[in-house]
Amino acid sequence: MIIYLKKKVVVNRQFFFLLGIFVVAAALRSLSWYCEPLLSRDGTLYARLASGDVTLPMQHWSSPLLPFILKSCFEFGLNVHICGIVLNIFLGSLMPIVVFFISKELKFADKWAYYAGVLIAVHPVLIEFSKNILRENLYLFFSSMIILYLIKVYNCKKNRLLNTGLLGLFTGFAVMSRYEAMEFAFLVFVVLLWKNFIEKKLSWQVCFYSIFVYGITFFITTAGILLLTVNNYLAYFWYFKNFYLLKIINLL
Amino acid sequence: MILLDIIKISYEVIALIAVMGLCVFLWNRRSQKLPWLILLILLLMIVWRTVYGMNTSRYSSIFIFPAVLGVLIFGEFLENLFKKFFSEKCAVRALRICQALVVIACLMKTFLFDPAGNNILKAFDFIVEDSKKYSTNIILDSTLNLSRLIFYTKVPAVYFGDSCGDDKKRDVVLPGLLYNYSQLYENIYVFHKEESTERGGLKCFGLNLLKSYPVSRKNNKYWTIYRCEKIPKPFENKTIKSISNGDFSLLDNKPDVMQKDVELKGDSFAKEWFLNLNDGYADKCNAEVGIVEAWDGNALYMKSDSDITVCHQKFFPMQKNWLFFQYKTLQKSKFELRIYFYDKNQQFTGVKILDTVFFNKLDSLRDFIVPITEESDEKKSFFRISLRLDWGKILIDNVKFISL
Repeated sequence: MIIYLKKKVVVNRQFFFLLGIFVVAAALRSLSWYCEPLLSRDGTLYARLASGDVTLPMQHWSSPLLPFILKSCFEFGLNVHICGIVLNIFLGSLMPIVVFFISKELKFADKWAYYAGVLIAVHPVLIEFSKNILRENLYLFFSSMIILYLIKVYNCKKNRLLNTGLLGLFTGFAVMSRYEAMEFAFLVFVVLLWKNFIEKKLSWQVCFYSIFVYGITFFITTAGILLLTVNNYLAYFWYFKNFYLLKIINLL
Repeated sequence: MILLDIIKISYEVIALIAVMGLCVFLWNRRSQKLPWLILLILLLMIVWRTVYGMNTSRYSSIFIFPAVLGVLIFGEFLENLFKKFFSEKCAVRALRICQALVVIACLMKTFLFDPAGNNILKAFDFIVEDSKKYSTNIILDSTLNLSRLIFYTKVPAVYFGDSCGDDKKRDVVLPGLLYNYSQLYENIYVFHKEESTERGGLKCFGLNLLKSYPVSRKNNKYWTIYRCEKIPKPFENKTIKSISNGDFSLLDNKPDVMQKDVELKGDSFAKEWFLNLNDGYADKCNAEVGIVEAWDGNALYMKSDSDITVCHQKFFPMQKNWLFFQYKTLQKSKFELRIYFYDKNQQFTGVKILDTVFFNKLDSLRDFIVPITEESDEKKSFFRISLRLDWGKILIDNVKFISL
């Protein structure tokens, strides 16, 4: 009974801390935006893209997720500028919570996990990203989710396919936010193969299934977003050929 | 370079502590395999960015997370160290002071900003209010704030900074631009950034200084807004070199729209003019290009929903010249005049946008003049002319070089 109550108190404290850090992070970001409301050059370009003021040829649709979200807001009759800022402040305020769980997964003591959340909430560069219309916040939010699930996959004794599936989903979203996130696709392979080869914690069969599930969810997510946003069936192959395949060939 | 970007984006204070944290982590767990996996991952991420190339430090923003985790590792190390030397209570206090110092440093970095940074918004507001007095407005921008200007003021804007890197070039370029745009727009603003000692320096071009706002609290630079008051006199010019087939009215071709839609596949048309496939165009651009009957015999006709490019085949030596052509817009259009650079072996070396123009729907015939400046770079020994229509419908004729 006492253990149960103690656990409940810890859970409650954690919940209120996370709620508090979310509110503080949102307040800091809003205050910063109030003080310095000027959008970056890229930010104004995204806002103009969403409102149909400018059109870009396909080769510039490297990361369609943010313009697509903003465009959807615009089509609903909402103000693109405000929607972009609200979206970024919301995602920026969620990031301390994700980093808190990352720290917990990495076996840091609770007080250090809380401190990690605080650091993310007050980090000047993250605040700067949040008060602007930039792809960074989307990319960083999904990247933090990838890191969280990557650590879960690494820590898990019996590999759960749900974790690798979610990993693929978040990688897909991150890649559609910023193409640099493609590095996580390699990192997932590195971690799975490391677990198999070096640490011998994973059987070949499970490793293969994990990679398969990861690949499938990643493919479905990215293809879905591209078909929805670029509205061109060839875009998917064009996108990966131009952004990744050619780069890899050049690298080799 | 990439490491400097990572330090900058992670915020210097946090990056410094994180590096110490990484060192502690590697030293304490050197016998384990995990640190080497983390090092491998960090190395892969740095290599990935090095191969891709980073335009801004934002590309390395992901390193904020490892930096924060590095701070935690160093914090734990510091906690153990304090406990060795001080009592439990003192150690906790000392640690909390250190934690608070980092948080305060972060907050100071965020909220100690220059209030003059918002002055550019005041400048935009001024343009918005002032532009209401005129039916058509345009802003000539030299400050790389083109997208911001259009977004905040809703007035079309054109960047001319590239073509006036120094004062000498500006002296040549700006009057030409003012002359061109004065035929198209009722009101022309020039948005410029000036040193405090040179404020009002553009008045010699017939511009009137409307407002200026300090860029920073140091008051050493100003955002300045000018209005073109005296419309420059039309240039007296003489043709120095005709471009072969630049005068479309002399062509033997029967007036006709020669290519349409997806059939635009790069063949030469109108003799030396051809559609440039390298610059690309969308399959569904709904384009029409060809020779049609116009004001003075035949003229080049271009119509498209997205960008198409028509080039002249001939290579011209890179000399100081003025490129002249006549045009007539049939609907609201956006047009770009470019030149392709070639080296002495006539190998392609680059592209330069000479001018970007938004045409309103104007039926009357207009002249357009744009300067071509001399280049000392050997990679820019020759050039070819490229006419790019982003969208709209225009007629072009009498493309030639002139001297003023």
